[in-house]
Amino acid sequence: MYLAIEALFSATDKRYLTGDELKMLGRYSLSLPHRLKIYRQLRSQELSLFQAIADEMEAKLPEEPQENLERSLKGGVSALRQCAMAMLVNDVDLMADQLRWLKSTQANYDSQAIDTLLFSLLHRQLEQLLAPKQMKFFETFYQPLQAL
Amino acid sequence: MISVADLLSATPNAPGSFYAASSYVRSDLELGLLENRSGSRLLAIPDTLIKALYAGLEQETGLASRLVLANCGRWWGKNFFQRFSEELSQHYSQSLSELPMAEFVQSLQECWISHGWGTMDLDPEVAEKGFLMVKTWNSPFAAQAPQMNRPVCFMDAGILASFFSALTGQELDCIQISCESLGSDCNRFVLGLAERLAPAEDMVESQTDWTTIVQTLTA
Repeated sequence: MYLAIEALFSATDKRYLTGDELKMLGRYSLSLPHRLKIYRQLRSQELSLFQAIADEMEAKLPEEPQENLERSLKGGVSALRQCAMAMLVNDVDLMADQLRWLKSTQANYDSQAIDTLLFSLLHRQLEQLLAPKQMKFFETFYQPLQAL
Repeated sequence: MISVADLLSATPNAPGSFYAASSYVRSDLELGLLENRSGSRLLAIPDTLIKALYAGLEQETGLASRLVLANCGRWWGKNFFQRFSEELSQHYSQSLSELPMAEFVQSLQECWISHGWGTMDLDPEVAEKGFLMVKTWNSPFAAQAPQMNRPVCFMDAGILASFFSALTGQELDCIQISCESLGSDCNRFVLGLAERLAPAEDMVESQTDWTTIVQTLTA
């Protein structure tokens, strides 16, 4: 959507938008308050959400060096921020770079098991934070992380 | 106990890639400008220009065109390292030498992609013998090069030589031992001290396969 809208704006000096293009723009505009609300919730609850995850990870993986847990947590924070932005601008492709980075980090540090736990805990936290309808909407953007 | 607040305030920019193409490359359609996220100008080179560079240099300088391209690459690589080093140090609030190897390599790989040079990886296979092997895929310089009976990524070799010389603080040479333009699965570059790489030159010219070259160098 992000690129689609940018393309619409670049065409303005040549023609008026078509009916379908206007419909697409209208649908996106109408969905913006909904998107902004989710984005604000994620932004304001970031610390408490990830603190709860950090506490549970430490409890579940007492033998794991703190450095490894912190690395995964930082990756999780970054991934969720990117997800939130992808949702805000309706462009799931924005996740591609982040996913590549996470996969590469997992390979370098052999951290897939920690990440799997982190994202399952994150999923649970998100279910508590967001209403079911919001969660369903957000899952489109969040789902690639769970598949890691 | 982990404090997420402390973790994020200590390294606000740590997670994710600085060079992620979606945020690194910025364009202004009206002005026709490309910039990176630090505000430095980027230059988009059409395939036609790369083809023309090869053809023009070949016509003007003959065999010396390889040397010209490699030297251009060296100059490019020197500036590339400087920018890479500055951008990454600023992003991570750490000097390049303090950065964990994994983050450094990941960032270089992402940087390579975002600049449209294909993909790359460092192969540790020959590291114990004092060489560094770099593999690249989908190089635009290989794709547009004229057909020769030898590897043709002279510019890439120059960039890598200069980049890793600056990184290691030692004057390194770089030689390409396999090339996509010759049907290889990837472009392989070996970096090392010039006198140790010298035997590979003749083998590349005589179209020796890359595994034999590596075996000879590391014997």
